[in-house]
Amino acid sequence: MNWLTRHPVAATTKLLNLAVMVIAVYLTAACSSSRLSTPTAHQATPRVLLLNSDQGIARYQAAQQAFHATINEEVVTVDLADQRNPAGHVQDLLNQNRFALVYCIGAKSLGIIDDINPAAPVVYSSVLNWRRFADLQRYHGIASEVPAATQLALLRYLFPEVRRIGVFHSADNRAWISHAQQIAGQLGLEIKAEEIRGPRWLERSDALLAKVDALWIISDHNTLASAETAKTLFSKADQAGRPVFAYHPFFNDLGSVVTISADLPTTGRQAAVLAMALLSNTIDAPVIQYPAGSYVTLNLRQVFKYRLRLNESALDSVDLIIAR
Amino acid sequence: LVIAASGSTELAKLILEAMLTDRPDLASRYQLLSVPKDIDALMAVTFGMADAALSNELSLTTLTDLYPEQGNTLRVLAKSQPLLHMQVVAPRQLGSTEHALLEAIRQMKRTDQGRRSLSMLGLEDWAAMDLAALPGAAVNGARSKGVQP
Repeated sequence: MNWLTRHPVAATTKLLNLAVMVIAVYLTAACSSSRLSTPTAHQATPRVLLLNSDQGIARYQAAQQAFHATINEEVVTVDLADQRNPAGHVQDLLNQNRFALVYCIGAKSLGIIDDINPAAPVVYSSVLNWRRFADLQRYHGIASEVPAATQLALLRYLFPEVRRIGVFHSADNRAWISHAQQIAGQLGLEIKAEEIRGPRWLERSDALLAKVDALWIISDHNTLASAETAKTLFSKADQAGRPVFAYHPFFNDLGSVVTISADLPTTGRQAAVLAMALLSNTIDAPVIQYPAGSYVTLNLRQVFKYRLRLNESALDSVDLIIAR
Repeated sequence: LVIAASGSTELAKLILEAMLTDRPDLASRYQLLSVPKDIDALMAVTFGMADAALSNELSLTTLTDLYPEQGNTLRVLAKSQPLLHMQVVAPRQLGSTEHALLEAIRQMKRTDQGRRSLSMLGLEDWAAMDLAALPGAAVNGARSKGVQP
């Protein structure tokens, strides 16, 4: 735990530190004490069905392992990649068992469950198009992206001299950008956003790049519709001497200075906590949570290349450093 | 009650147990949500993924300095007793490998790579430590030597 690894507290002694337990002041005593409870006993027959879209994918496997380690229930686990007829197999399982909850990892499993539409509540994670399920009754999940506030706070912490951040986005993210701009202002940052219109937006991207200290790639499938578009945008940012921050480790290979993504074991643990709350009937409306854990990858080579001032005290927030 | 905490769940439970001795109602029914970093635990509370967070005091100060709108929404419920920082311990009789390792640890602050590694651990430097001088830090006769940040 980090309180054992922090800087010494000069006011007391270099060897000792304090842990604190905090709570948001706007939470009332009632809501802070009754939201979730832990099941007290294992059930005789499994109540939970876990559908993994593909156990061969490391990030899906990480979520599955964390879910198993956290939930206090017997779980029937199915790797859909092993099935010749995955939809038929899932339908058979649901016909033969009375599962109280289904956990879907990945879009394939959630798509199958959406078609079958079982009576049991559904929890999902690692689904990029999670917004499509956000308003459905009985569907609860963990979103794919770390909150904008967390991403911006970490960027500010790591690079205190980067103040003007450019973003390209589509109309779908207009409200999200407006919210991010408000947060940025609270952090002493400025987001210069440009809404893309038409297929030739990349040709005009130089104008925005010239006005900012860095470019921020957000989750917007209309903007970066292909790997080729992403490569071209990175190339243009590099030509303009602008570092790129991004929301997914995929962009590390394209030259991101830093990527801030969801920590996948944490999403599995969150899904388990959510599942336990559903099984103990303490949730009665759809719940969508942001990922509670972040995974920060820092490319030091790019830091040096763009001559960014890095706050080295912030390195304890970095999970992976790419040094070469 | 969901409490977000970074690092070892076993250690978090031990610390919470000690902190909640006068709150048996909470101590018996919280659910721990393990997250990678203190900032994640604190942000999990502000975004509603957890009801409370267990964190280093300095992390809370850092968040409040960096992002007052978030940090100031948090209220400290309880504080632990002082806790030891990370320790490196080794047998008193050192072989050449252990000696080289301890020396590398002592020299970390003298190189860029070493300083960055210390920062990743949230440390400034290591210091030699006298276990016997620590208040209440009985080591049960262990014959060891250590360095301490």
